[in-house]
Amino acid sequence: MLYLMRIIRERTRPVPKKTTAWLTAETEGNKATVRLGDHKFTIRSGYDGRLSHDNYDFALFGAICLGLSRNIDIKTDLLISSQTLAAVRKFNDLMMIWNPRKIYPISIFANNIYDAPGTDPNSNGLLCLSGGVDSTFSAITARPDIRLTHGMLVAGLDYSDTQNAGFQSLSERLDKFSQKTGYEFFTTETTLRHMGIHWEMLNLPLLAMCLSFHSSVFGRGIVSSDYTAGTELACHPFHNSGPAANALSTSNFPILHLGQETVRSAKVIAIANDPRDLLASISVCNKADGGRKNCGICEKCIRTKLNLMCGGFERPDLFAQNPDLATLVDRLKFPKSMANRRRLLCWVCDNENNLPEGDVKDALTRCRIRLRASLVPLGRI
Amino acid sequence: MLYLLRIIRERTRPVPKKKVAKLTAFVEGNSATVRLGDLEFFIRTGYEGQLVHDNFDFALFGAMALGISQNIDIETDLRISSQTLAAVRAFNDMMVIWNPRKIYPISISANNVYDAPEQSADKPSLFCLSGGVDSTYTAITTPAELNLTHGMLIAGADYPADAEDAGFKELSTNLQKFVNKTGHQFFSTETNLRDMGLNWELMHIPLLMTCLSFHASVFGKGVISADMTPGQEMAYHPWSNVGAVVGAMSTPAFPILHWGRDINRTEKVLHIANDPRNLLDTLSVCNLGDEGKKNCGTCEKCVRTKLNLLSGGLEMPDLFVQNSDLAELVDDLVHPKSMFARRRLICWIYENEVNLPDGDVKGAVVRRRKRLRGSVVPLGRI
Repeated sequence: MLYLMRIIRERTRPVPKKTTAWLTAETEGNKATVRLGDHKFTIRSGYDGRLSHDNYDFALFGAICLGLSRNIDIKTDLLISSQTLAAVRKFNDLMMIWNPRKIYPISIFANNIYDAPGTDPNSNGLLCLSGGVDSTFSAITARPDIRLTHGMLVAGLDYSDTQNAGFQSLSERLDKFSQKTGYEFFTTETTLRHMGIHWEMLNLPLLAMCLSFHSSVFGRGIVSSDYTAGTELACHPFHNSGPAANALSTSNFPILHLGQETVRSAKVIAIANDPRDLLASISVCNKADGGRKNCGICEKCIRTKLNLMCGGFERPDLFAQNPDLATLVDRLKFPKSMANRRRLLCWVCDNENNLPEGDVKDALTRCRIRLRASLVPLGRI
Repeated sequence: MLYLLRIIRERTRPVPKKKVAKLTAFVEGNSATVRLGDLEFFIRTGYEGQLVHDNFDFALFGAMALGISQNIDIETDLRISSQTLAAVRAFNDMMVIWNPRKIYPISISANNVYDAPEQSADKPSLFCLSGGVDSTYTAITTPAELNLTHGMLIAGADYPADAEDAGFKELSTNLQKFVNKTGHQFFSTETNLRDMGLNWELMHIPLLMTCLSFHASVFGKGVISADMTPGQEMAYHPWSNVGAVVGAMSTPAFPILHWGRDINRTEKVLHIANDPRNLLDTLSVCNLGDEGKKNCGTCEKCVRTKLNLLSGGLEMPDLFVQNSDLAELVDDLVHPKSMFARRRLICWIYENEVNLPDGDVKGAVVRRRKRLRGSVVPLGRI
C-alpha cells in the first residue's frame, strides 16, 4: 500500500519551474569558484603541484549536476571542449530515457567550443579513492597501461568538509594505504553537494568534475564500479553504472570504470589475499570509535563480513563489534523503497551463492526468500 | 489507476507449483528431440553438413528456458560441459536478482559434467539472421577475423515453428537474396520450444542459444545482434537481449558475441542505407504488408525505421507498402498500456528526436516524447 502511495506521490510531484542561467567560473591557484546563476560552489585541490586550466570542462560537469537537479538550462561563454559538451549532453540524454525521479533534463548552450587534443597515452591516471572495497580493489588491480599514480579523496561527498573528524580519520587510513601500495594521495574539497543536487543520480558527474579539474596533470580518471553489469540492471537507476561512466568519458580526458567484471565478495577476497595487509586500512563505514573503525553491525559491515566469510576469512579486528553474524543477518532491516530492496537482494544473493553451508548461509537464504516476496516483480506492467 | 491495479495483480499472482523433471535428449541426423518431464520440443536444422554432438549443452539451454518459465527444477544425466552448466546457473542467478514477472528461478543438477576444450579459433562463426536492422548491420560490420560465414534464420522465434509458413518462406527468399549480395551462406533452423510456453521477453536469448549451440561442432562462435545500446538497455529492463545476459551465456567452449551495442538504431540504418550493395531492398522490418512480401509502412517498427532514415536525410518510400504523412503516423502511434512498453517507446522516439531535422515530423516526435514522459512513473527510490 505504501508503495502505491509512493507511486502516486512521484506521479504528482510538481516539476521545478524551468529557468536558464549563465555558467561562469574563476580559478585561482588550485582553487576554482563556479557560478550557475545564483548558485555558487567551490573546488579546492590538495594536489601539491600546480594545476593549469586549458578549458572549463570541470565547471560544466558540476553545472549539469545543479541543472539536472533544479531544472536549470545552462548557457556559457566559458571555453569548453566539444568532447565534454557532447559527453554532458549524452548524460542528459540518458536522464531523458531513464526518467529517474527528481531529475529534469535540460538544454546546454556553449558559445566558446573547441576540439581538445586527445589525451597523452603516457600520462598518469588519477583514481577516486574512498578507502572502501571498490576503490581499494581498483587500486591493486589496475592494469599497468593505466599508469595509476595518485588517489584522490573528495571531501564534500560522504563527509562535509576536510575538517570533519571522520574525514580526517579516513585520510590517515588512506595515507597508510598509500604507503603500502606506493600510490600518492591527496584530497580535494567541493561544496557542490551542499547546493542540493540529486545525489543518487549525480554522484558520477560530481566525481567527473573533480577528476577533470586535474586534467592538466593527469591523462585519465578512474572511478570504481559498485556492481557487475547484471547487478547494475537490477539496481537501476543508480548513478554509478557503466553507461553513465562511459557517457562522461571523452577522448581528451577518458574516465575508466574499473571493477565491473568482479562481484563484491571476489573483490574483498582479492584484497584479503593481498600480502600487504590492505584490509587493515579498509574503510567500510567509519561509524565506530570516533570514525576510526568500522562499526561491525551496519548493513555495509555485515556485507563485508559475509564477503570475507565467502573466502574463508574472519577478521574481527577490523570491526568494533562482532556479534553472531547469522543473528545480524536475521535482524537486517528491509528498506522501505523497492529500489533499495533490490540493492539488498543483489548483495544477499552474491554472498549466498558463495558462502559455505551453515547458520549464516541459512540466514541469508531466509533473508533472500523474504526479500523477493516483498518486491513488485519487474516487466510488462 | 490501471497501473496500480497491475501492480496488485503482479504481487498476488500465484506461483506455479514447483516440479522436478528429468532432462533427456535424442539426436537423429540433424534434428534433436528434447524432453523435460512431460514437455517435449524439437530442433531441426537445415544446415547442409553433418552435425555431431560432443555434449547436450543445447538441450540444457532450452530446458532452462522452460524450467524458469514454468518453475521446473532440472535433473539430467546428459553429458553437459561444466562451462555451460556455469553459464545457465549465472543466468538463473540473474533472474533471482532481477525478479521479473512470471519467472521462477530453479535448481539445476547435472550428473555427467566435463570440462569442454576451448573452441578452435579456426572454425567459422554463425550469426542469428532475421533480416531486420540489427542482424543486417551485424552481417556487414563484423571484422574479417571473426570469419562470419553463415546466417541462421529460426522458425519458431518470430514466425511459427514451421519452415513452410508463408511469411517465413517469403522472409527466407528475401534473405537468400541478401546473402547473395553479402557473400554469406544461409540456412534455417526450426524449433517449437517457444510453443511450450516460454516467457518470451526474458527467454528469447536462451532459445537463440539453444539453436546456436546445436551447431557448435561446426561453428566456433555464435553471434547475436544487440537491439539497444547499454544506456537504452537500462531504460528497458528487464529484457533478455542485453549485454549482461549474452555475456553470461558466452563460454570458452562456445563463445557468443553480442554485436552492435556501441551504436544506436539510427546509425545502423544509415550504415545499411549507405552500403553500395543496396541492402535496404531486402530489409525486413515487419512483413505485415502485401502478404508478407513487404514492410507495411504504418506499424511501430516501420515508423521507427522511416524516422531512422529521415534522421540521415533519406526517404525510401519504395521500401514500404504505405507512405502516408510521417508526422501523422507519429501522432497516431498507439500509446502503450504498460509502463515498460512506454519506456521502450521513449528510447527510440528520443533517439530519433535528437537526430531529426527541424520540421513537422520532429514536432510530432517531440509531442510524443513529452506525452510519453508525462505518462510514466519515474524510477528510483520509491
